[in-house]
Amino acid sequence: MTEGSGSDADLGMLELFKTELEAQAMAMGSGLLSLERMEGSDDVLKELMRAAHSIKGAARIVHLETIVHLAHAMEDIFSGAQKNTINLTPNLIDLLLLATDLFASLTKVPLVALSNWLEQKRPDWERVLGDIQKAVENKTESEGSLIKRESPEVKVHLENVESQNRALRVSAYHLNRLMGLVGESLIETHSLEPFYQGFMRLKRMLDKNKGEIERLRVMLSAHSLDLHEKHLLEEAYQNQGEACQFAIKKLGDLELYITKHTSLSDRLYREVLDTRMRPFADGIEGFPRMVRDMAKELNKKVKFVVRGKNTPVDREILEKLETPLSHLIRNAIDHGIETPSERLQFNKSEEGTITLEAEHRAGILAVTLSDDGRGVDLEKLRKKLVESRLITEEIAGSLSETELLDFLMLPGFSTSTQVTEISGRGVGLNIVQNMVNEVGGSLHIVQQFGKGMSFHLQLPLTLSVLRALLVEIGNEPFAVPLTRISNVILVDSHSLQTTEGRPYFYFEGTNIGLVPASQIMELEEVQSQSSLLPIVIIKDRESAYGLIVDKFVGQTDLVVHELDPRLGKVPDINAGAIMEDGSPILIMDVDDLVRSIDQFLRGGRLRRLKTDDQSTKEQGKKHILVVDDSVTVREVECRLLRNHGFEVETAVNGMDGWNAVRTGSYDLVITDVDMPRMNGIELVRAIRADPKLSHLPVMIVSYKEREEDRLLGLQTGANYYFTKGGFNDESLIQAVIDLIGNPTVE
Amino acid sequence: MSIPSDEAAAASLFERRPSDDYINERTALFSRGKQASSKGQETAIVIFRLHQEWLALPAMVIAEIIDMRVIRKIPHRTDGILLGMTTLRGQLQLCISLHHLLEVDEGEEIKKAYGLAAAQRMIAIEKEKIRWVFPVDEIFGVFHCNKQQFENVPVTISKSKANFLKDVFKWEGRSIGLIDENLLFYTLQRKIG
Repeated sequence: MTEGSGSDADLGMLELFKTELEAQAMAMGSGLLSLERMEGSDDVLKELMRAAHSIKGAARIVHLETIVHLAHAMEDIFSGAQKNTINLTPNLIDLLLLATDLFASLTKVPLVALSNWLEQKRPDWERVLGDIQKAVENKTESEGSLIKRESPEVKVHLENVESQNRALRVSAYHLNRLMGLVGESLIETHSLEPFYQGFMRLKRMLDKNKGEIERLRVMLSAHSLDLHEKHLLEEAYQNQGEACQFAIKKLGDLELYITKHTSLSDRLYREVLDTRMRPFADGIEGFPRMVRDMAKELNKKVKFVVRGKNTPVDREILEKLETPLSHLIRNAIDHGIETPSERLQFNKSEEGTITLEAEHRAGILAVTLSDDGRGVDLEKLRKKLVESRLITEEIAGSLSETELLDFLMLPGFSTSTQVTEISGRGVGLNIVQNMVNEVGGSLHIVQQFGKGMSFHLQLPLTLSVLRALLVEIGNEPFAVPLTRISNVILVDSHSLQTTEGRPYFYFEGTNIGLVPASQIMELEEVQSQSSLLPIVIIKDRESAYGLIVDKFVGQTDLVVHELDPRLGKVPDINAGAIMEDGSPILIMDVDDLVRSIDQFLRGGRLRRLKTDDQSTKEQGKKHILVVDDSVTVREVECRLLRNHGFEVETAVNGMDGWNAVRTGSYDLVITDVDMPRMNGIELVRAIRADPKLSHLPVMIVSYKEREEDRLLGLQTGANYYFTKGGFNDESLIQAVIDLIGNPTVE
Repeated sequence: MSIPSDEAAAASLFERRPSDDYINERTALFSRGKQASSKGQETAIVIFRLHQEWLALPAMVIAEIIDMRVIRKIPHRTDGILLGMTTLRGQLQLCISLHHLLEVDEGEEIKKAYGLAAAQRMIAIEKEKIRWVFPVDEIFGVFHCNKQQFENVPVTISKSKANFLKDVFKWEGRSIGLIDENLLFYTLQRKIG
């Protein structure tokens, strides 16, 4: 039997194993490097032991024997090093790093290809394993210890860093914070304007006073005032004049300051936004090679030209562009460019040209991919459309070129008669279309039969700034991306019609169903005073809906902030933003909204079940907490217990487990011993010391098989000590039942 | 013009004998030896009020204290514990209700006794880059308290709240519950994350 294949180790478990292996291999790699630099070797060795140990245990569960052996051999080395019976020479560390690389490379292999890959790489694994085992045997291999030899590994890293151009790595976290602060500074600057207005008012008041004193002076000049009175009046008049002068001067200063400061904040803001930009060339590095390889495979001659390599593109857009562009290029080579002999027949040069171009045009990013191949035979396309029963012959005849070409973007539609390795499945153009839609851009196809074809992608310059319509729903403001709104109108509620209890209205040739936004989004319903309903019309490919909102507020530019990852995907919401006054606002996810509306209309939606209160555990089932730092072990134990009818929750280390037992209520805790942040023994001790938890049954499941480990566990207060070595489903379940009885509470 | 520079004068200034009083004072100080330093036992805490409950959190986890801000509901998500979204230093933050988590109820008479909305603030707590913001009804500031002042949490307090308190201590005649910050972060992460 091949390793890792077959039903005994199902794909889900393998996937988990890969995640764990990735993390452990990374920990191992950095541990080895710090060993080499001789930093804190005792702790590091402990960490390495644990990593090797976890890999071994997890690999055993998914039946990857090769990995079990290798991890085991590595464990032997680390434990030898701890006891000083093995000298960690630079050679040995190199070898261990090589093994770590093998682990890491395994995590990059797709699951389906895993068993083949392992078979292919078997010689590598065995060689490394053999070398490591040899090293364990000749414990005395001495070649100067690990002192002061500049390691080749480290050097390579340094060289890599140097060759990385002048780009600096800045963590997204810091960049986001910087964005936030700059945004706030902009908001604060805007608040200077009202302050200035207030100052203006003060100045006008002073002017008015001055005028009044002036009038008083004129009036009183007719009367005979004594000297003292005259003097006072004169003084008041002069003071007032000075105050006005002073106010004018300071007002000027303030205005200047505001102008300067505003421009400074604006520039700062733009500069920070610019850090999100990267040159177009960065995102297309792989394409020349791809073109070369494909052309060779298809016996075609293709020249690949890129223009606008330095055009700055938002890094998010750049990432998203890669897949669609690669589809377009594949299409162009496969369907567009003819074979050299065909090209000669058509009086074209033997070599075809594919041009990729990026430029900024009037505030949008225009990306064009064109080829000088055969283009599209519109008549053939018409025929094909009729054949595939997408449209009738009559309609096909009346469609314009643009309308016909739009059909190319339909999912599953392909003009190619044969599906090749490279393209023809009719997926490609649909992917391009979806990506363009997602970022709120547009896609046009232009072609000339026999001469070539080009795809024009118009994309927003950045995803970080969004033009949006502000609406109010349930007393809360929301932003709807302008690019996703097809229309905004006020409809008189008397002109609505209803079918099957659902309101709709007639607009531009179609009936559009109406739904109250507050119901879709589960927000308060606000009674409208007016008979005019504010409606936002949104649509996707299939359907259009009118969303009734409470009020239109206005239009604005928003800097998009990602939603907190802790929230997960929030239905109907895409992102957040901060308004000019510093208050938060949520941006609607129109695609999701359309889906929600579909669901809502198709017989209402199930109200979300409140599941946040964890104390409402499933009735009548016993509750077990599994504490283990290996995700694979956790999953195995969970499945096993759940299959036998227990309710299970998990914790990833002792501290996590300690927090869990104090807030939840459990009938049993099953814990590992070796864990970071509070180990299993400490956890048992803490549980026994807590008056509320002292009677909670605890079972230890560990790889540690020695008698003294067992005794330590039991003396600390564990009710049962189970060794994973003989990990046997039946015996674990039996032990659990012995401790707490049947899964269901009688 | 020359700058007066008399090394001897400078040396005599720096090397002059300190006064006897000074020497005696320092000697007395050093001879006392190290006292059982109370500093090590001292913790800085921030005391605040949720309705009628007086609580505290270690100052270490307090990232910022700010005035009340707008809190926006998050559709489909806002419930008892998650209040919604607010902003702090130009970033969006999740806002939660500690009142709800600790089950601190508001009674009518309480409202009358403490009806000052102006005293309301928001506290941002942060640990390992995880941040939460919650409104409180009043803040009394940072205090240093001695671990010896701590008492066990009386068993009479309601179960849900007692779970979150690690100590109770007296301050200005009141009983203040010190919240276990680890458990607080853990629970929030589990309930919302």
